[in-house]
Amino acid sequence: MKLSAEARDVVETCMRQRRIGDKERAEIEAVIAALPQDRVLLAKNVVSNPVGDLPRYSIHIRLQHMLTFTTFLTLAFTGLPIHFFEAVWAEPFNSVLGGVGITRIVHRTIAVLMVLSMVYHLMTITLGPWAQWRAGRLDWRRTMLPNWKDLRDLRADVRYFAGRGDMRPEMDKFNYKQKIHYFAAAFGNLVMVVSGTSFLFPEFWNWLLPAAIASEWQELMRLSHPHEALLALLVIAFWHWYNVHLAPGRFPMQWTFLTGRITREHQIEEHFLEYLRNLVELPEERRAVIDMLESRELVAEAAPGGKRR
Amino acid sequence: MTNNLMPRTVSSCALWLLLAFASLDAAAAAAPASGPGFSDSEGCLLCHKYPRIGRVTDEGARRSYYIMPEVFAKTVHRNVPCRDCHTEIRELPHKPVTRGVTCDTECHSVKNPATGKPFSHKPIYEAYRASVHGRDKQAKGTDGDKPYCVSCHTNPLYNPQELAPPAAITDRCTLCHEDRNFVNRWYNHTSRRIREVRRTPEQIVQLCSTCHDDQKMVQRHQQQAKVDGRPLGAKFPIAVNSYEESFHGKMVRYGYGAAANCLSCHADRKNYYLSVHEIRPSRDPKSPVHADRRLETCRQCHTRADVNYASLDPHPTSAKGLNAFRYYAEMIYNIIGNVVIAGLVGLSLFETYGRWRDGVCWRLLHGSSWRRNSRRGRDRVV
Amino acid sequence: MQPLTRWQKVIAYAALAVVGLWTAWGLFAIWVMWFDPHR
Repeated sequence: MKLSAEARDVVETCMRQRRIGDKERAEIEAVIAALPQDRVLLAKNVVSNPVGDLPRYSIHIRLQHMLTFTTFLTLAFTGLPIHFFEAVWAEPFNSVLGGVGITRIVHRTIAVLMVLSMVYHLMTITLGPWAQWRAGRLDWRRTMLPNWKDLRDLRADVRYFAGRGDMRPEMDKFNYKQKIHYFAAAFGNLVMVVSGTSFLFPEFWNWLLPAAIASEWQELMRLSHPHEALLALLVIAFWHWYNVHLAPGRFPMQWTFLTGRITREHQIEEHFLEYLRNLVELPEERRAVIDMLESRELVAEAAPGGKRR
Repeated sequence: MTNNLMPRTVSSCALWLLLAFASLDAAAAAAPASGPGFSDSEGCLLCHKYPRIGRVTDEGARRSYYIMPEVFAKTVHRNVPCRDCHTEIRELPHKPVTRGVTCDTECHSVKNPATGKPFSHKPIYEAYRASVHGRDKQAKGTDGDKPYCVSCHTNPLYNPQELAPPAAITDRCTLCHEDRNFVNRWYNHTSRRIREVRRTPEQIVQLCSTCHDDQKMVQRHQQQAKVDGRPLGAKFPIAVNSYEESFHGKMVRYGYGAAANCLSCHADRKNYYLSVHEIRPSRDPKSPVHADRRLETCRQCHTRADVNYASLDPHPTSAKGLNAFRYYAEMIYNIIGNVVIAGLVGLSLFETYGRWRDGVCWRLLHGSSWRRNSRRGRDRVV
Repeated sequence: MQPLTRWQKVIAYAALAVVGLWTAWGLFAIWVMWFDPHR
């Protein structure tokens, strides 16, 4: 495969940061050369273990996801029956825990747990990159920070879905979908926490804010909390769960949230630039992909040595 | 011979029975307050003891005039002779009543033991007349919507949960005061005030909502106010709905009586039992919900409230005219919410369609992957 | 994609069921609120 300029830059950066020696560099280049130019063909033909092949999420991120989703669902399960108290479906939820007096307390307590989980996450996303930067291994393109490439990728992806493109774009470790979801969830959580505190501590907010906006602020918070909760629930149910459970290629469940590993097929299709880094960093991945290409006689013709490595 | 004797025995038995009944009647008529406490010394029950006694008004409404003495004897007015309130009655049978009872009547028979003067509800009646709800008994126009005394005060029974005053207490009183009936009635009078017999917060909200949630009534008053050229409170038309949407309303509905109900703010906590009769519109400086008094009203419960806190709206609304900020905020929220969901779900489905065209598929039992032959011919080798 | 083992299938389909049930409940709740908001 002849790499695009962007992909070439990614590979060079990774090799430089890992301080790859000349011998290994030659090996890596050979593997890259052996990959077919058509990434669709490549993605379709790799052998993937559904529970994951390539590392993607550290244990911290997996724990934080677990914490976030359990607190989120519990908060939704306690909060919605409080807000829609008279609805026919709310009564069993309120009474199963012993009445709305208890669901209120549970809701607030789990909210504190959610805040702690957010703090844990903030620590991870600051200390992690800081440690990487100290080790000279920080590549900003591998982080969740949005950039212009994400917009270009979105455009190219939509063109591909409409049949106008040949392949999906080469996307990085966190593509536009993850970034949309991450920031939507982060913003949503922030709104929920802030509006929650304005319910719990109205005197504090009234003391803090100038008189002109104190009342408006409280009204806005009273609107935000249930609206944002509903929006988050709908996004989780119909966007997130669709993408991780129902989408073809993931059905019945994507295992990354448990194992921290992503399938080869998924990585190549949606995070190709990260796959290239995997090839640089993991010799076993190079071996695996070469084995697959050889067994299917898909080695690129332009590779040195033709069909053989 | 028995034949001759029987009629005599029967008739003498009958005579004895008649005499017995007659003496009972006389005894009842001559000795007031010997029964459960309600005496019919004026003979009203002669007619009013019949369940069907009543009339149909000109408008077709049916009015019952039936009195059940055993029930009335347990109410708070049991000691008041009929004509102390029904002052128009002068003879038996009496002429049709025109003016009826008004609650500011002074009793002839019942004296206020503190002052020695005839007992009367007049002070509270006058206070109520001066309030925003004040009306005559025979009221004209929109005043007829306002509650008269009996709308809320329904001549209740003494402590209906209590069948009889507890002997453990009344035994002691009877030692000196001798008359058990007197002691029981005195016990009822005080115990009723010691027990909390006020309406519960939910009942208060329900009571006020009976009128203030009646859209026709609200509209009538808005029309009348426009005609008269006087202002109405801004929240008057939406009072109940907005309260139900507020935190206070929700808490009361969920069973937390400590949260504010209508009277908690619209009546003063100080001298509460008088001030609930003196409710005034919010533009009146004496009203606890007047702008100048709001902070102290909030502070009854929210002890650390400050001026900003008092500016929070206990009757929140999204009506455009009343809270434009909230109206637009809600509209924007709805738009954003719908657009975000539709956009994201649409994008997911579009993505699935595009990938499906290139050969991805679901295989329900074996997981899914790129197994189908795509339209573009770049497929799996095996 | 290699096929899932039996246990992997149990876990994956169980998770899918949980998510699916939750979504179904949500749809029911939304339906109720849409057509009968003060029930």
